[in-house]
Amino acid sequence: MLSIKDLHASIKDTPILRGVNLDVRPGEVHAIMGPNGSGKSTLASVLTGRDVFDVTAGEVTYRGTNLLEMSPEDRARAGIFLSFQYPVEIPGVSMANFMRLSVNETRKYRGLPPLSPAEFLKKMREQASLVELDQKLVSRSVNEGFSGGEKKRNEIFQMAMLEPLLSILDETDSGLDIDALRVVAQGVNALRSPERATVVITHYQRLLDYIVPDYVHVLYQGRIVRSGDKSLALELEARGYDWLKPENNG
Amino acid sequence: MQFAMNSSDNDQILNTVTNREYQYGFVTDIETETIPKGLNEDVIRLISLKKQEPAFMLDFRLRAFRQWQKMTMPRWAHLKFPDIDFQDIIYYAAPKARPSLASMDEVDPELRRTFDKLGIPLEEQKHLAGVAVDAVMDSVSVKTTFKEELYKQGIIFSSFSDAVKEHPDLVQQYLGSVVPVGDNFFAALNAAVFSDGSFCYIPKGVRCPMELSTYFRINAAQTGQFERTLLIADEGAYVSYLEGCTAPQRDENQLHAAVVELVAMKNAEIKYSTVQNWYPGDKDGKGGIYNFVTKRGICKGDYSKISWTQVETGSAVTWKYPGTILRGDNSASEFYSVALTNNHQQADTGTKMIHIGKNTRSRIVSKGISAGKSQNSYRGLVRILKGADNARNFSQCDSLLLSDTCGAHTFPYIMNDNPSAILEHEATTSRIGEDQIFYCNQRGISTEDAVGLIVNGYAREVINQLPMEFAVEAQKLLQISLEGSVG
Amino acid sequence: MAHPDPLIQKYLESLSGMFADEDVRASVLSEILARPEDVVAYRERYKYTRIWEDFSDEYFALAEAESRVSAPRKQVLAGKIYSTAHPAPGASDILAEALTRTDLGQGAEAGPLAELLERHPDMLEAYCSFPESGKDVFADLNRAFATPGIGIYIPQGVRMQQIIRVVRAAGQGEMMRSFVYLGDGSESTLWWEERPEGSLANNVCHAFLGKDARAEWTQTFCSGAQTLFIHHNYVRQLTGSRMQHHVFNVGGRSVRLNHNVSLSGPVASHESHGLCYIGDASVSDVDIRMEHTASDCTSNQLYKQIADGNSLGIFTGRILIPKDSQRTLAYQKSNNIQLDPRSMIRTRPQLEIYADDVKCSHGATVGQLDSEALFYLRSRGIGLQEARRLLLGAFAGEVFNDMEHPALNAAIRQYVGNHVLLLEDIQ
Repeated sequence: MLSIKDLHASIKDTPILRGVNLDVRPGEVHAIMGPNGSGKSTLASVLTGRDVFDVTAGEVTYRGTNLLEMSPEDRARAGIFLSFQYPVEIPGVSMANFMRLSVNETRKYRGLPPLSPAEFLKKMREQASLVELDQKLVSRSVNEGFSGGEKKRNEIFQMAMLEPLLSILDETDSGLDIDALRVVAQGVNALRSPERATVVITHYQRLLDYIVPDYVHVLYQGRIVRSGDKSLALELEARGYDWLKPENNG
Repeated sequence: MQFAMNSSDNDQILNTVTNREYQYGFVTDIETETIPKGLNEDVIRLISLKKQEPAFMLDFRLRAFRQWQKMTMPRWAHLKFPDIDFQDIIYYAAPKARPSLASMDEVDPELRRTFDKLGIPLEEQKHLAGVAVDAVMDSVSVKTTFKEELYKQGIIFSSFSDAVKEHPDLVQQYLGSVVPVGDNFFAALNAAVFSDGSFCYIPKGVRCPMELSTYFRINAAQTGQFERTLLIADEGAYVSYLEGCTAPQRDENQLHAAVVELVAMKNAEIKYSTVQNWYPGDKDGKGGIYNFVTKRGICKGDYSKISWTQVETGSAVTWKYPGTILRGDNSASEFYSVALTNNHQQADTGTKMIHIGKNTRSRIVSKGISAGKSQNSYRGLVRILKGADNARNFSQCDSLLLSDTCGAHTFPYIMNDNPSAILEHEATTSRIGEDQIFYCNQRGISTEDAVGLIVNGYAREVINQLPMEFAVEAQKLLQISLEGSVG
Repeated sequence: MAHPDPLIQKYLESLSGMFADEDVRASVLSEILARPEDVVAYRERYKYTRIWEDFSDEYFALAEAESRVSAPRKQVLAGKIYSTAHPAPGASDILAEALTRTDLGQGAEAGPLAELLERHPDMLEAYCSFPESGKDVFADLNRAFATPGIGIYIPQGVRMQQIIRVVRAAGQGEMMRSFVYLGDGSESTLWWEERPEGSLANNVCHAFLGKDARAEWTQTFCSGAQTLFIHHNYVRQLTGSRMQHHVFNVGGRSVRLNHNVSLSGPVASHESHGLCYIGDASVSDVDIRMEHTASDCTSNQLYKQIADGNSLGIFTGRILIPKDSQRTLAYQKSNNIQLDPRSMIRTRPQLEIYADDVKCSHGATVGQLDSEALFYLRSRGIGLQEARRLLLGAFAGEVFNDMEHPALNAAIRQYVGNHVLLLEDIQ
């Protein structure tokens, strides 16, 4: 589904990613862990087409096409979803209008007819209840005045609406209390299927108790320095990241 | 650099405040050499001759004078003042001194007492540690301290007259390069007749080890003061510079028209602070200094920085817009200002930030405080030129009103020709909170002291930009300038 | 009823003849020319409008010549008046040509100003209460060459349910004076649409709100590609009155609006909101003067400019609070978006405050569309053009928040969307 080969990326001439390799197949859940500044969020941004980062080398193939040549919106329409670490507030743009456009543009891309207003509203209600998102929030402007937890739920709500093939969750657990975490994980798990894949970017293994990964990767100084199964996450939790340093340097 | 005031500083300030009148209003009885009133080419030649200047200086002055003659006094500011008779002013006054000052002992004792009284001792050993002073009385520099010590590091800090004699090449290269002779009416007048001021050059890579400062004093009657400051920070250099000003209490209005030019080369940083306390006139608006000043810096090199901080409490009329031309890429500038007007004072002051280079940043914080029957205006310009990609400006200008007979005005202009710029401006105008004053009253603080406290808190963000000794001074000044404004 | 300004008095006397008297013109022109220092001030006020390209130093002579050739002046008063519950941009329910006096019901009338002033002494008295500023060269020119325009008369205590809509296509060289009068306690919703053509139109519109009157007044400007359109509003509000003013400039090479408001009685309030879309090779220049002549008044300005192509957008907002106008609230906000690297924005807030018990704030922002918001939308599959439209729609939407009449609100959104493709989707 997603194949990343020797990906290098920099911001304003400062290299952040220095040769990332990763393969994600349908049905898999990958967790990417690593200390602050290791490039986790950069990887998510590069995959979704944020233009502040320059890709300086490497290639990314998504379902047989060169992902790096696609516009951010086409990547989204092709099924890549990013749950933002810091969802931006967009005053004046209502959630409903925003989501309707988003859903129908995506459907158009996939050759499906637009949803009728009734179908759309029904879907909104269903998915909002899945992540226990207050209906009132749906009638407000995008993320405006949402609490930290509400913003994260709103991201998962959008994911449920758009039914992506590849979901990238960037620090979705940060700032969430345990109940919110459970709700968010429920939403993610409800969408798991053999066709879909998920990449979970996280600092702590806490979230991985709820969203159990097939693979765990450690990103360190712009490279994946170690991969393993869920036990690697537990090891990181116990020992921190420091023990990886000499290995990386050597 | 930020210094926090602790509560004992505040106490000290409150305790010190007992003087209701302008405390620097005395006159020094000293023999002064003056030339006759009036202005023409002969007067300019005479000034140049008295100062034994090289030909380029006289040429500079005459060019300026000829342009000035074609100009008219600007009237666009929110200021009311009578026409000034430029033929009724003495353009050169100097304390009579021995031909050359070899040591401190030769400085006229009366002069020394004057500066002692102003809190500016001219003896280096007595002076505040780490501050070098150039003291200017009327038209000439009296004494520059720490000159030799600084020179060991290649730093040139001297009176303008000495610089013209000792470093004519540097002066010729930079004089008028930031404020051209015909820049405006008062700048042209200054260029024609300026008699002294300070000159400073910090060589490549040198961090000036002490605060440099110039203290300006008007003493002689019927004289105008026209000084000029030129400050150059070469690549990677750093300097913090302060100026202070006072004048005697007189019933007549006296004219002060100064020019300051700053040049910051690549990676250089200049901090320029002003505590302006010219005589503001009496309670009925009689007398006081007309203060028309042109101050401008250029961030010439990439990554250079110029910070302006000003505390303006004096003068009957203030017309002053210290500005920065951000020419180097990634250069930055800041403007922090407190302008307090009381009684019949009028101030029209603010800044200009001209963005030319890419990724240039500027920040403006202005706090106006109006009391009595005064008029206080902020006037600012943020200009982004076509090539100034990714320029950023944030401006905040607040006005505080302390009486119902004063005025607070705000004229912030934005001109943007480059859409990659992000410019934000915020401003508020309000009066001092009665609930705050009551809270203080209830804790046993008099209304006058409460107002002082609140005003100082309001001005804190700006005061904190000043070096420590001057921050204390500035707080005292604010307090004193407010005396009699509550009631 | 004699007007304090002798020029206006002469003008009033000459109303029946439709023309301003030749003597009146001559004296106004000589008065203007006798004040060279004011000409400098005029130039300053109109510094950014591309007026001087058209007029240079001979603008008086030119304007005079232009006004002479644009005969016959009686036909200048081209315009249509509608009264409707549901205005639509292409409405067909024309009530009347503006040349004919029309009964709007409940004693309210619309029609030729001269006729209305003669019929209604209270309206004439209000008209005479406007001081002539004499500080604007184009307002003075209008004074000299004025022809009576449209009058709208809403008597005391009358609450109009219908929306009154005026559609005007100003002719060449037009200098017209119109007047909207709302008696004490009356209420009215008004959509005044200007579609000037030809090279110059320089019109004045007075609006008077009696005690506790309420007006919702929306003006839309869509001028021709060759037109220099100058419009002056003079609003005078008495005690407790309230006006919601909206202006939309959706096109035209050069549009200048002078919106002068005098809050003359206590507890009056004025909201002035504007949206200007400035297309390629165009200038929009809005100059607001908000004068809090009485105490306890509230004013609020919200102006949004979207500059596209090689364009210039100017906002000048003056707030004047004299000494005795205590307990004043005055707010101003100017938000600007530049869509094209060649576009230029100027903002000039001017606050003059002489009273101490006031709360004033003003803010200005200049920038592009928020790149983070754009990316967020695109990452949800919304195309770049669509995302820009959404964000611009949200930006513009705030201007409509205070437009209370729902049918008018919907109609104006549609009107703006029809003229500016980027604003099809105002939220």
